[in-house]
Order: sequence, then C-alpha cells, then structure tokens
Amino acid sequence: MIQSKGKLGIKEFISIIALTIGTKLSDDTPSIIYENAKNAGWIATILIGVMSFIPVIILIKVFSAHKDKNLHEVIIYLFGKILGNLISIIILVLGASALIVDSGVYVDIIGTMYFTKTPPSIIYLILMAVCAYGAKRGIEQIGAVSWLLLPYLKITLLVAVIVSINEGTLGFIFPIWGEGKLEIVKASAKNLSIFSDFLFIGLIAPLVVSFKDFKKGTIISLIFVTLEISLAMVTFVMLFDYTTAEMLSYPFHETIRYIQIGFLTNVETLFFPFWLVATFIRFSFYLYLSAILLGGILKIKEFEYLIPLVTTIVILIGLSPDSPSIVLYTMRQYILLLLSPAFIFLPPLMWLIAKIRGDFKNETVQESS
Amino acid sequence: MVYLIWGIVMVVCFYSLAFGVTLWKQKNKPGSIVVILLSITSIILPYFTYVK
Repeated sequence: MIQSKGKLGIKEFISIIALTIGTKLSDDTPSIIYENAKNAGWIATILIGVMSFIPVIILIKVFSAHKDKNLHEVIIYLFGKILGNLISIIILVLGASALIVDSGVYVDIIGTMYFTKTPPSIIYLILMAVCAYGAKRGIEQIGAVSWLLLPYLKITLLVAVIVSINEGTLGFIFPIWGEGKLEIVKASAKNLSIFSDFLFIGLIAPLVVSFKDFKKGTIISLIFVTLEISLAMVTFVMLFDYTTAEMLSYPFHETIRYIQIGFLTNVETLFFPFWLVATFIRFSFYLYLSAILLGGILKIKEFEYLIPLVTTIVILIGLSPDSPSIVLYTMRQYILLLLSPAFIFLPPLMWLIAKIRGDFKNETVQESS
Repeated sequence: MVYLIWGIVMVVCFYSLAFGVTLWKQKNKPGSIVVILLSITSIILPYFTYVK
C-alpha cells in the first residue's frame, strides 16, 4: 500500500478538524453538556470554545518557535527525554482511551439506531477496518477526502438544522441562562476537553504546508466547530426541550429520525450515509494520530505499520463493555474530566519552559536574519 | 464469528511480530520489544474481552 508523504493545505487541515471535532455533535457529547448546563448547553459550548482559545493560542505560540517539530518532539525538546516521554505516554494513553470509548459509542449508535440485528462485533470490525485502511493511506489522503466530502456533510447537517428549527419551539431555549450563570461556567470547565483534540492536532503541525496555514487553520476551525456544535445544541433543545434532550443518549440521531422534509418521512436514510462517512474520516484520523505518537515514543519512523496493531487493540478493548450505552457514557465523562486539566495546563507549561529557555528570542533572531 | 475474530487477530499478530523483528534488526530494541509485547497482548486480549 502506497502511503502519500505530501503535506496538508489549509483547506484540508480545516476540513479534517471540522469533521473530527464537528461530528461530536452527533454522539453523546450534547447529552453530557446538557446534564450540567440544562437548556443553556449551547451557551456552555460557546464558553468552552472561548475558554479553549487560551490553550490553543498558547500552543500555536509554542509551535511558532518549533515549526519543524510535532507535539511529541516539542515535548521531548522542552521537558527532556525522560519526562517528555512520560508526558507523551500519558497523552497516548488518554488519547487511546478516548479513541476506544468514542469508537464504542459510534458502534453503539449504529447498533442501536440503524442495524439493530447486526452483532456489535461485526459493526466494530467493519467500521475500524475501513478506518484502519484510511489511516494507512496517510494524512494527505485523509485530508483530500475530508475536503472533498466536507460540503456534502455540512449541507446535509444544515438541512437537518433548518428543518429542526422549523419544527421546534423557540420558547424551549428560555430561561436563557438555564440553571444559572455559575452552572454554565461549571459545565464549561468540566467539559472543556471536548476540544482537547486541538492538543493532538499538534502532532500533524509540521505536516501542514506552512506555519501560517497551521495557525490560521486552527483558529478558523476552532471558531467553526464551536458555532456548529452550539447551533446543533440550540436545535436539539428547540425540538425536544432540555428535559428530553438530556435523557436522549444521541440527540442528533433522534432528531434526524424525528424530522420530516415535506412529504418525505424516514429522512435518516438521507443523513446516515453522510454521517457514516464523517465517522470513517474521524477514526481514520484518530488512528493515524495514535500511530504517529506511538511511533514517536518508540522512535519508529515507519509508524504506519503500527496501525493494524493499534486498531486490533482498540477493537478488542472496545468490545468488552456488556452494556455499552451506560458504561461508555460514564467512561466518556471520566475521560473528559481527565483530559480537561491536561488540555488547560500543558500548553501554558510548555510556553513557560520555552520562554525560560529563550526559544522565542531565537525565533525573533531567525525571522530578522 | 469467534473464528473470524481469531483469524484476524492472528494475522495482525503475525504481521506485527514480523514488524517487531524488523525493528530488532534495525537496532531499535526498545521499539521492537514494545511492538512484540503489544502483539502478544492482542492475542491474549480476546480471552478477557470477547471470549469471556
């Protein structure tokens, strides 16, 4: 299998982020946010986006002094070999856990909502086999497919949102602050890690054509996914009211089963294939990131050979929960809780060490010369 | 179904073991050891997760 070794342009980079983080609106992320923020979940999402700006900007600043290094190489450079590898291993374990739980959630969605008679093991196997193939083809191809499919995926989502808003009740979003401003802040701080993928995106930083594109792409995509998830959350509340939306494990899928476009019923058959393609791209990208990080820690240059092994381990662990809907939901909450401090504190710590080491001075000298 | 899962796990395990051996030959011993250990883990894992 030929793996492309090209670089990512800004549009492919934004598409990858828009599809990997944007699809979070279709899993149990909205339910987790509604649990604390109630009907103000959409405000909590905007607040999460605003709060995420700080670590993301700091991370970009750190990368500005290490343009040819990825996240793992920067960590090793800043923290030293032993501590750096330890931090990378912790990030890998957290990232792999998130991948296992997320893939389990998606298998549960497909199994409970669409293919109810197919065994979860078969769904898991097919889903991850396609994703492993995608990951093995390399980041350039993942980016190209993302860019190619982004308009179709987002247009279908927009259609679903518009139809839902038409069928919804505006009054359900009031009281606008839900249970109070403090609850919104608490919910945002607790679930900040829904955007922790931006930390992992540092692993492909040197694969973006230029640092300027990386910087611009990251900021644009952060704004885009924040607004997208927030809009979807308003829609779910308008359609179901927060008490129901909070109880639904997968509000997006309930929405596309509930809505009707004119005389057309069962419109989920229109949305499901697009969502499935977005899922393939999402997990292909996650598998690629896991392999790149594991390869970095073990100093393996041909890290793509690790993808089948990583995929097999993900499937075998992901198949273990007996009642996935409940177990994975609880586990996902714990992982979000664990990832939040890592996402908030690691970038500032990296920036502080880089500042002490004088990396930014070197960058200024390089730019002026 | 069980046979299919076992078949896939075995193929991936052999593929990864071969990659581990290649890494050993390239003098990347820590990488090789971890890859071989992960391959063995992939063979053991189904006993605890799938074939319970």
